[in-house]
Order: sequence, then C-alpha cells, then structure tokens
Amino acid sequence: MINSVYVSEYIKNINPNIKAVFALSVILSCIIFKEPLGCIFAMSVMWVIIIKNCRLSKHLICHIVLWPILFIALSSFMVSFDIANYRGEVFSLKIINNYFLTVNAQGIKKAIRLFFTSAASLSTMYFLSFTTPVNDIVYVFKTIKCPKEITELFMLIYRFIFIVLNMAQSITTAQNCRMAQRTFKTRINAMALMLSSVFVLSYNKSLFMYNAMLSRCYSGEIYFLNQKYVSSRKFVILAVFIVFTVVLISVLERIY
Amino acid sequence: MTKKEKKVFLLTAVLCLLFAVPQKAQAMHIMEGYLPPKDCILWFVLCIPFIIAGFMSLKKITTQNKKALIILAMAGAFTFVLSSLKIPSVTGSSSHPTGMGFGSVIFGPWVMSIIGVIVLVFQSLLLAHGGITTLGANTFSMAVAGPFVSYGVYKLCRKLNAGKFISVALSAGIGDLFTYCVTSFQLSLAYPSQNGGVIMSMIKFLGIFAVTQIPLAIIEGIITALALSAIEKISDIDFDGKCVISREA
Repeated sequence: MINSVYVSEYIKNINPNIKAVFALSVILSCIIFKEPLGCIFAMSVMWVIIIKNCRLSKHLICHIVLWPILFIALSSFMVSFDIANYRGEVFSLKIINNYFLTVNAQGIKKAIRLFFTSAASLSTMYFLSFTTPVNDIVYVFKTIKCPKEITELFMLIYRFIFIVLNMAQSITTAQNCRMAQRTFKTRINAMALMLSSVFVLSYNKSLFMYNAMLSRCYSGEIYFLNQKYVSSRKFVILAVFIVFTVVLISVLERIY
Repeated sequence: MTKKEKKVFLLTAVLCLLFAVPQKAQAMHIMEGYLPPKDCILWFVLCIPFIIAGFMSLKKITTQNKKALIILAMAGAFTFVLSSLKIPSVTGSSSHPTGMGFGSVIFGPWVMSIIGVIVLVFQSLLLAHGGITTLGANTFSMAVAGPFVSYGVYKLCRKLNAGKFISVALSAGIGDLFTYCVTSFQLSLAYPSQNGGVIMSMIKFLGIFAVTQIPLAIIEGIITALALSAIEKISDIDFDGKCVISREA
C-alpha cells in the first residue's frame, strides 16, 4: 500500500499546499502541451524525487509502475485505431460492408503523445501520493476552504477503510480455507455472503463507534490536529524550476 | 493485408484482451492525463450541481442526526473496499465491482454522489485508479450517472411489482453498463474519430469495453442482489424504499 511506504522527513514536512500546487502545475503543463519530451522530463524528475525520498521495494515499484503503464499503453493503443469507410495508411481490417478498422500515422502520433502525457501525469500523482500522507491532504482541503462536513467525512472514511478492508480480508481467508473458491457458483455465493457480512459488521461497528465518540463528548464536530509544516525555499525554487523546464521543453518541441 | 500482418494484428488483439480483462476497475476510470483540459473542465462543471445537491443532502442528514456522519463514513469505506475487491469473472481472470449500484440502493443516489467523489479521490491517491484532472469525468460517470440510473431502475422495477432480487440485480447491472456507456461517451468526446466523429468513436470504445463489461455487469448484478438478500436475512436492515441513512436519521 502506498500509505505504508517510508518517506524522508525532509519531503514529508514540506507544506502540503506547495506539493499539491507543484504536482497540479506539472500535470497541467503536461496535459496542455502534450509534448513527449516535456512529459519524459517530468516523468524522470518525479521518479528521481520519489526514489530518492521514499524507501520503495523492487516488488512495489514493479507493481505500481508496470500495471498502470501497461494499461496506459493499451488504452493509448486503442486511441490509435479508427473506424472509417476508407483504408488506413498503416493498417486496415474490413469489419462490415465498406467499413474498416484503420490505423493512420496521425493516430499513432496521437497515441504516443497520449501515452507519455498519461505516464507523466501518473508519475506526478505518485509523487503526491508517496510524499503527502492523507492527513496532509486534509490540510490542503482546509486551505481551499472545503466544507467542514466533507473534510470530516474524508478523514473518517480514510480511518474506516482499513477496518473494513481487514474484515473483508479475514472473511475471504476463512472462506478460502473452506473451499469457497471451488467452482464459479461457490465463488459468486461466497462473494455475496462476504459482502453482506462485511456490510452488517461495518454498519454495527459504526454504531459502536458513535457510542464511543458520544462518551468522549462528541458534539457533531471533529477536530483534527494540524502538523507543523516547513515552507522550504529550496524546494519551492526546485519546483518552479521543474515546472518552468517542462513548459520550456514542451514549447521548444512544439516550435521545432 | 498480408498473412504476416494478419498474424501480427491477431497477436496484438489477443494481448489487448489479455491485459484489458483483469483491469476492469481501471477501465471504468479514466486515467490521469488522459483527457484534454477542455474536457476536464466540462465534466467538472457538469458535476457541480449534483455535488452541491449531494452536499445539501449530506448537511441536512448530518444536522438532523449526528450519528449519520459516522454511518456515512463507514458507507464510504465500504464502497471503497467493495470497488477494490476482486469478483469472479467468467473469463477466469478477476475484476472489481463499481459498488455504486449497491450503494445507491442502500444509501440513495444523492448521498452516493458525494461519497463517490471522496471514494474516487482515495482511489486516485491510494490505488492510482483515475486521477485529479479526470476526477470530474470519473465523478460524472461513476458517482452521478451510475447511481442515479441504478436507483431509477430499482424504483421502476419495484413500481412494476418486480421482485426485490430481480430489481436489485437489474439496477446494479444496468447501472454498471450505463457507467461504462458514459465513460465511452467521455472518451469519444475527447478523441473523436477522424471520419465518423464522436458517434463512430463511441461505437469503437463501446465495442472494446463490451467484451469485458457485459459479463461483469451481469455478475455484479447477481452478486449485489445476493448480498442485499443476505443482508435482509441476517440483520434488521430493510433497504426497500428508504435509504439506511434516512431511516437512521
């Protein structure tokens, strides 16, 4: 899980607003220009920052990089295909009557641009996910004046996810021990029973939790303590430089 | 096309299917960076009325009853976990349910729109499913269109005196299919066909998704119906007609 990765104190303590603005600026620069070289630069920088500041196992890197990248590659590949009533420049396959499944040079270009844009944006999202714990995201929500109810709900959902996930995993393990995965029918039944049990258990747990909160003077408002953050000038300069370079490379690539 | 080209095409198509089948959760979500800026803005704007209405509903519920916030949080966590669980698939691979049909029948579509946004933010931050720039588009398909259609189908079926099992199965299945139709429309709007425009592009995306989504929608419908029937059997929760939160409130 992304949230259980060790992150260096330096990057963890940087103001989450700065990290969020930086990540969003890089993503926007990539999707506005959609230039492969600019995206490759953004992607490389993000992974250098992630690997330098987070302790990631090879298995985790493979898991979080390989599948999304494969998915992006295949999704981009889909975009290169077109249905037309004429033959394509690169490839064409007759479907019905005069209609062909075609691939043109322009479609391939579009797919390549899309692949790099999406991969760079995803890498930037990983930067934000790895370096900014969910508690710090709440700080960003507070800064943008997000309604209190949503912030509270966001934080509570995050805390409950692990409780519900543990319940689901325990029930699934117990079902697997009892040969629940034997046939397709038993798999469907086991899944449905597990969902119903998890729902009822989590519903009851929420009522117990409410009683526990009530006994601790819960009045309908939840207070979250804010951590002290550092507005590192060095990081701000680096962030501005990275965004500027991504834009510059993209503009130069577009011109030439 | 030569024989060699045909072979290459077939191999690529098979590879596409192999990789696309186990990635249903991601197929439903539009990845970060996939949409052009104008589309991101358009879908964000279209979501705003639903999110505002969902927020008003949430505020009303939480003002009336302090307990509701805790139950809603648990509902959100349940929806997140539900969407990250693997469901059995006929192709032998595993896929993930959307959980929106389940949620909209139990909690109502308005509340689900706001829970859906939060769940989508978590999915993008913790699982890299979806993204921040594509949050508007994903919210519209998964937290607005899907739950509302599911709820509408459920209510319609109940009005037509259909059984609870059938109503829930149809609502979850049709809601799931509608979600993927909206996703296809969003993708085709962003990447229209050079020859046939948005419609031709939509046919292409629908055709690609149909291979995995139709069987999965059927399976999700059956699982949702079985799960809700079991909930009624093992607890005193009656989801017919009223959402659990309103009942608690």
